[in-house]
Amino acid sequence: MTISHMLIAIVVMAIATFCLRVTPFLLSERSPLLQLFSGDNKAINALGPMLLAVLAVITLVPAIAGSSLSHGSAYLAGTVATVAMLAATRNTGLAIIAGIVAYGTVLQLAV
Amino acid sequence: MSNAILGAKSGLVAGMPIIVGYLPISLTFGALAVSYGLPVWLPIVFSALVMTGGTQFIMLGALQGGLFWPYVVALCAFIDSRHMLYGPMLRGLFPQKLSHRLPLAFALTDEVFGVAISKRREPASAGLTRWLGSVTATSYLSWVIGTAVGALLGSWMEVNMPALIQALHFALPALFICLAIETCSKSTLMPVIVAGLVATLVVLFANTAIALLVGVLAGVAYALLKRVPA
Repeated sequence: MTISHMLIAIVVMAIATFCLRVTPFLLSERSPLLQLFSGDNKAINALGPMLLAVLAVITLVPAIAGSSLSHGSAYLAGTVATVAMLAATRNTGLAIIAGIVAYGTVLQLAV
Repeated sequence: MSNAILGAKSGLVAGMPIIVGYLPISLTFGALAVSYGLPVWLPIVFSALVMTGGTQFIMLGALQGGLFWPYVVALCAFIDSRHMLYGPMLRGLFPQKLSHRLPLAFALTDEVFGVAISKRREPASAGLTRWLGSVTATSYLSWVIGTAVGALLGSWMEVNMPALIQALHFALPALFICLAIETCSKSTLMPVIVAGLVATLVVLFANTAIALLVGVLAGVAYALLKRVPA
């Protein structure tokens, strides 16, 4: 892919993202689209967390399944540390750092 | 000290966890893009214009892999469609004037939503607007600056700090884990578990490319069949 194609894709994605974020603020309170996304729809309500959970699966599972025991342990340690820190502090930043530290430490110990 | 200034300061403090979370991820994004042979300015422009975190990684990987770009953009826009949920829930927090609303809405990411939702019930005021402005500006700047640092120092870090670069690979899975847990509620837990389990099976026994669609469809089907309360 050329740089110019990539730039076009980025600009189109930027417009799409902007529209997704701004549209609810341009619609009237009674808009059917706003009602659909305002949490009254059961399936739509669960869509956001579902997408994020599946993205976590897609990122983690192939990496663990296709890796050595040491890499698999590192992913496991990172996941446990992330969840534990999030549960303890409710702070996303600290949870991510805990996950990175645990993952990196287990990787280095395994070398 | 006026309410507006107090609001701005308090927003800066509230945005601190976002900075801590964004820096390692944006740094990784910038370094990864340069490691693909892209010019330094491209990931910076990418982060400055799009600012979507996880889907930026997906887009970068897919475009680099030569996938048809309209397909990649459509997939990423679909993933980011959850952002449409945030606006309706935070409408009361935004200023009345459209010209003031749009810049704030531009930077309405998962993390900003996560922080802003705590103020959802507060009455509208100049202080609250400044607070939201501070949170969004803090998160936006940390994302773009982190990307720039990663893009500029990526090659150097790869040679001199390989362990750190390797450890940073976990930033993205960690981000998705946190976001999934934070956006999940009691009422959406079961559909999310179903979607995650089905996606895991599809990844293990079929194809990663279709896991997203199949997993989400399974979760939606479960939610509709079980009539999960909103």
